[in-house]
Amino acid sequence: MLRILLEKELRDIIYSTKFAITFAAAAVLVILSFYVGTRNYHESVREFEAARAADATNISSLNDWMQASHRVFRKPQALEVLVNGVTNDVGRTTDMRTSGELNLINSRFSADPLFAVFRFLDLNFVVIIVFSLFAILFGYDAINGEKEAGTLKLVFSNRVSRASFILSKLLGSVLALGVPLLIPLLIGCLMLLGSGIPMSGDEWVRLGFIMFAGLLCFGVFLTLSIMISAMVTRSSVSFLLSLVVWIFSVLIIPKGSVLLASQVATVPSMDVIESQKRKFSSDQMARRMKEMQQWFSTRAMSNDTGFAATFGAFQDSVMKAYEQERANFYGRLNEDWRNKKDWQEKWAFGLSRVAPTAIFQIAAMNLAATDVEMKYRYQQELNRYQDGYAKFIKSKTGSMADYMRVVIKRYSGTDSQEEKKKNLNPTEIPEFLEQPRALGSAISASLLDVGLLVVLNALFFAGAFFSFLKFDLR
Amino acid sequence: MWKTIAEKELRDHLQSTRFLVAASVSTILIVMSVWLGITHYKARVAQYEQGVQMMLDLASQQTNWNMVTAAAWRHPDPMEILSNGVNSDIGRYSDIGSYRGVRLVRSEYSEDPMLAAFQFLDPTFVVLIVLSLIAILFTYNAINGEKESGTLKLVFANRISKAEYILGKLIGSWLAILAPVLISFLLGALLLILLGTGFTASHWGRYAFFVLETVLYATCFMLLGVFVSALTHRSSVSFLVLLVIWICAVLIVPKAATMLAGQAVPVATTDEIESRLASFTTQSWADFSQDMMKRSRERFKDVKDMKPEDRQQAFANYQKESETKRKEMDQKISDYTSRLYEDYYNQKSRQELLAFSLAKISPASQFQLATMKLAGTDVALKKRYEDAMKEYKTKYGNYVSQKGGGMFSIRMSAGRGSTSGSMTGPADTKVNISEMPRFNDPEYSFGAAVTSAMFDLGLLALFNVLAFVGAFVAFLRYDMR
Amino acid sequence: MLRISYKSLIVINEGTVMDQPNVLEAQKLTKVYEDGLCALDHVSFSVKAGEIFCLLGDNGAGKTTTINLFLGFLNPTEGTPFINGIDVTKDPLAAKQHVAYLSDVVMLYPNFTARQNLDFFARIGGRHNLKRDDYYNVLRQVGLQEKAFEQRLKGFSKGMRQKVGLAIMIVKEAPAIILDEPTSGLDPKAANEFLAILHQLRAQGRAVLISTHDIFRAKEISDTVGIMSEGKLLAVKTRAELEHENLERLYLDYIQGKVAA
Repeated sequence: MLRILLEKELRDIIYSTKFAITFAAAAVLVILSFYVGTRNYHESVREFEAARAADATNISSLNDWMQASHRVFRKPQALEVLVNGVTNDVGRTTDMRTSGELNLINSRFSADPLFAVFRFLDLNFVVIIVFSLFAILFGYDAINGEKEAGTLKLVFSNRVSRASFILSKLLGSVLALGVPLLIPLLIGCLMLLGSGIPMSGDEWVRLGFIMFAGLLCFGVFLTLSIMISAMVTRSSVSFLLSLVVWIFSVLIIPKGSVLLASQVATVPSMDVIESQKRKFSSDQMARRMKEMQQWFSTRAMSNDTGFAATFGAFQDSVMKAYEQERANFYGRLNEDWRNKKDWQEKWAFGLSRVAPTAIFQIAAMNLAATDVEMKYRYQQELNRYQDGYAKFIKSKTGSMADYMRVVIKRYSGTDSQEEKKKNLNPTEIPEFLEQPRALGSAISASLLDVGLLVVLNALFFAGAFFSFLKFDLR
Repeated sequence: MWKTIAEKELRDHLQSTRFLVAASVSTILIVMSVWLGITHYKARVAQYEQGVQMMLDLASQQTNWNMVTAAAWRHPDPMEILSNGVNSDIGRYSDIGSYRGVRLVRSEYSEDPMLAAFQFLDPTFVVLIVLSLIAILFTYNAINGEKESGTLKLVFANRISKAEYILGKLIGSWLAILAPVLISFLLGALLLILLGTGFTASHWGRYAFFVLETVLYATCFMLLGVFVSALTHRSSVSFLVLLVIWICAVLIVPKAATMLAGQAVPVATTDEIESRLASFTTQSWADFSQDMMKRSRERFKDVKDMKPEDRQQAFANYQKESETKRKEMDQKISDYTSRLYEDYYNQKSRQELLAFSLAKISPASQFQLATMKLAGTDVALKKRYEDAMKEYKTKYGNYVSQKGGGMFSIRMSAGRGSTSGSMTGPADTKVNISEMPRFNDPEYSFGAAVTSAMFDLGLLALFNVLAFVGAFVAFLRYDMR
Repeated sequence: MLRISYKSLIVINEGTVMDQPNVLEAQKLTKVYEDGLCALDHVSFSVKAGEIFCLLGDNGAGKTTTINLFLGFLNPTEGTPFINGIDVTKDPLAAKQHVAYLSDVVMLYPNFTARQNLDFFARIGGRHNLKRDDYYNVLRQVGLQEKAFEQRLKGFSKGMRQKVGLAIMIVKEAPAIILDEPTSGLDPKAANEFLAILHQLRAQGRAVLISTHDIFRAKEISDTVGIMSEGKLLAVKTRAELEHENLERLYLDYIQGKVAA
């Protein structure tokens, strides 16, 4: 009996005009999102290369490593174009320095506000908007539609149990609607393969998980709407209800939760921290000036290179001490602020998880490493690199000192020899290689949300099941 | 006779469950988004005031004008409540110094990626998504639904022409949609007044236009709904078709258009421009410093041989000379910068023109762009502020050089990022910032806003007319049997 | 807009008519579709004031097409439908003023109450100054329960909706009445009530055209029966003629083509 019902369900759905139209639309959009993603990636890579070339030109026009200003650019990662997350809002460029705090500037959207107007079409967007709508369109009248058409009574005038009927409905819908979605997803993956975007094994695994989560999200909406259909007698009402659920889940709850959390669980603005840092920095500067004035006042300026070397040594020791002090102070401020922010973010995303689409998006962002932590992870990578860069500069210039060294050099008249020095070779600079987020860490971060999606599926599945057992067939 | 039809249509809607649900949902959402917008706006204003104050406090601690870092902050505008646009993607302030260019940094989203994860819920968004869906929900079965329930034939067994009928239907449906829209925006206005957002007359004028745009937008989809309903005989089909149209118009076309334009008109990135500028600047200053070093060594020699009375005068002359030379260098760099950015902006405008022209196929883009222009949160925001800040930078630079830049000032641009300083500054007296010129936000008047949004408004109106004609004609040819 | 009052209609007895001789007249009505399908083939008949004419035939015989032609929903390929002497093809709007219609699908407006539905269709039909009580009277006349007057049609049974449809028809006070399969889906009691009302309408002097495939009702109520099959009007029999014949046999014979038209 279950088999017969299941077969009828599959056939009923797949041969309907509704399925043809909506599946075509969903498939086109999925493929489009992969296409847009690949184009986006190539475009980002082009920008990345161009920026690096310009920076290299800049450096090779100079002849003194101490004057060189090196900019580090963020290389685009494959999964970012499928799940944008906050990628386009985080700065991609850093003015690299041997010491001091590094800032991220020129995010995609701040540099190119044109793209911020409508933003990008990514796979995340298609799952959240289209998959959910697709599910609702089929689920809302799964049960009460049959009642209205009179077929429900007809079926149950036979030897059919309620359990087998609702099971066939649930399984049938899931199979008839969910499995076909795999087709455009796989086509998209093939497009990725053929597009020349380098993807490592673990990135494929992460993509697999993202798609799995997407199908789970689809499942949640499907089972939920079927459940509603088994609780409400009229399909026009269950449709309205499902639509309202969709509007709130997709559009309102995620945004609302974040905004609410930012108002209720307030965190001091980063500006305050910045201002404290500036004050500290400027105080430090004043103290350094005083120390240097003192040092100079006890020595006579002289032309010999020995003087420059002594000054260099003094600079280095002073710098080290100040740098340590600064790092400690900034570090404490940052950590403090991060803790408060963490708490706020927990509230924001916790609340948003009422909406299944938010659960999916959070999971996807974690898997693609484009979640809100991305900025801080990137900053840590840069800090790591900074050590190596500082060592490099020291090896080239003999010190980590800043402009004061130049002043002394110039003043001591040694610059006439500078003109004969050759231009810098930018390829000597150690390359910045951003370590991608470890697969294990990405998966474990998304585990909660993927698990939640599974639980919701089971919950609504059971809900639909038990609601139907009490459904009035007449 | 059309009056009777209109009355019946209006009443039918008002007495239906879907109207109740849709009207309450949309009203709640619009009011909620206004409220959220207001609280966030106030937070932004607080942040702004804090930022400006901190800058002033820090400045007043300095003992030397060269150590002062001025900043020009963007004052939040209450219209952001209605349409956030690209506001959160543009930097909130720029450091102002004579040795670095104007650059808006630390946008809201880059500072707080948490907000960027799901972005804002502003009334524009609610209208864009929810009102259009509701309009479709109300009218997808306007014609074919009546056919399916037999009332179409029943009505036309009377002395009524098709034209009268469709006119009455359109008017009745329009009024039904108008009601919740006007109510929600009235409530929104109430909220704005009660919570003290400082709306001026210019703001209210723009608010009125915003409501007008909303009405045009909703009407567009209402007419589209009736149109498609008059093209098909089954309401389930017209619903699906309208849903697909909605997804394309609201979600796909705008994004696709921008992407296409991005591909078709390649523009150099900001990073490239900045690198080129940095390269030129470093080179220029390097040459300049070398030059200055040579001169100062010569002068030092000269001064040695002078009488003490003449030394003072000589120093003053040398100072003046340095200043002139520095000004020349500044000018040279500034000219290069302008040329560089002019090219960049020209390319960018071409890209934008293409993107928006393509996007305007969809009434959703027309609506979004019009509201952003009205609120001043469109892409022109960035340039408007950058231009104003550049002017301010010149003014500020003049003021600072008047105040004297210390005797032995050195400037290093794009170096290790440290500020310039003089080795021998005056004694520990703090600078007086009370007369420091302040940054004034560029004006964005009511007139400017409306003229800028006028074209898109006009397009929306045109779309409405087309949809109206479409619905009318489609019904005149509708087979009632 | 003209409001034509029929209050001056004289009550008929013995079939004499003081108004236009033929309220409804079909003159050689023919309808051939573009694909060659001939839905109606030179059908001619007339319905006088105070007469109930039944078009009897199976599905696809052309009954609904005939009705659609009278109501101006279709244009005839040949021939002319007349309502009260007005050529429907030439002046459809004026013609519709003189006819009231009840279809088999009576969904009406589910969000409206019975009275609101009635009110709307009354206005559409040209009667603008009726009061609430007038509506209530008509609803009572058709046998609708009092408590249903202000209830939304959403919960009505088919019989109840049919009654509202009838009320709509009555309140228009048109000289011609066209009914499309009116008794399908009605229980015997409701059908009887319905027929009683039809009798009243006939007594008021209206011309009634009914299309049905219910032979028994047709025999019971009609003054004249027209048998249709495959677009042709095969026979027209008056009540007198039918009394001596077995209508069922006749009908089936005609349908099966055993008897020539």
